[in-house]
Amino acid sequence: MKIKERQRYILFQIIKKKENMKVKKSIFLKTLWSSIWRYFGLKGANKMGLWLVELNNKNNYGILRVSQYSKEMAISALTLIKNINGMPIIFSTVKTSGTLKSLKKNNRIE
Amino acid sequence: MAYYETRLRVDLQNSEEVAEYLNTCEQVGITNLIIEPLTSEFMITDAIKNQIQSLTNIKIYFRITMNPRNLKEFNRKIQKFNNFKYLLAVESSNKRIQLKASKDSRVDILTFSNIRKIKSISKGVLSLLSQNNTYLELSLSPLLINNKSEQSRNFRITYRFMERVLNSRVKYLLCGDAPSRFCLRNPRALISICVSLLDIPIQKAKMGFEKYPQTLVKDKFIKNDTQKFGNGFKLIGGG
Repeated sequence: MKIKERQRYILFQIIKKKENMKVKKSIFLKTLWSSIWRYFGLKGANKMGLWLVELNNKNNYGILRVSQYSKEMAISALTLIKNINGMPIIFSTVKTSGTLKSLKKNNRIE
Repeated sequence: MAYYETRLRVDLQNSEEVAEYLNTCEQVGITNLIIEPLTSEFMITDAIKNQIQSLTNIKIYFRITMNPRNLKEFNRKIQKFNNFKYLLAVESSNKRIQLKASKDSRVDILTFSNIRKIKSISKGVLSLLSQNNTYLELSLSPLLINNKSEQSRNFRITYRFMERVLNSRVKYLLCGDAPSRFCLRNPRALISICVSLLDIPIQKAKMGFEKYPQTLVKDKFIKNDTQKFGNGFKLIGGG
């Protein structure tokens, strides 16, 4: 019997020092993965099942998909990021949900 | 969920700085905040309190933290805080001051904001805190520093002392204690750090950010209300 790994979608807000600063996807992912490796190592990174669904610089939000049991690890890794390329930044988690549709609907995201 | 950020140090005379901090707190999702001035000599007046509350929808409470250097200074300074209507915290690595403060009913919180002070917590202090209904506050700001080796050491020390605190019956508060605006974090995100990196069970971590700050604020209101003597007692007439 196949057991599908359940996912969790994490909506996070980006709070930047300079409003016109753009966070590139590649740089964000590099920073997030280095945070995951630093705090959780290979074992934690294996379990994560991380996927960046969306990163919207215009409205300052992003959506991550992770496996169900590594949600807390993903939120911790995101929270512990203090700067990107030397610029102070906060990634603040807003909401988590089991489906992308309900996450977007409840937070009025198109 | 009514999570509390129980310590935010701001220069209350600089209204621009206060407004910036409060704006960032709103963006980050903090709904209940306890603010303290940078020095314990600062007088929190009703005018300042109303001005700050008018800037934001966040529920704001106030506190003062004393940092006495020795027992004599503590005894001298604490006298100014008889019938103090805001929260009073004491911060010191001196064991004699910790023991005295944990027995004093004027002190609401015994706070530990850096690793040197966290290391000074002893079993005796924990026991006195639990007997006298004084809260113990641990700051998570040492965990958010850049230096990797120091951060790792801080995690280890906080983990060890948090285990000791959880095994005792003391009421504890956990706070972000952000040194700057971009170190502010949502309390729910700090709970995730406690769960994933400090191995604190999620219900216990939530108590440090939600249940205990709520009871602390409620207990303070009961203390300030002259009609009430304590939990469950109220003066109804005469006396």
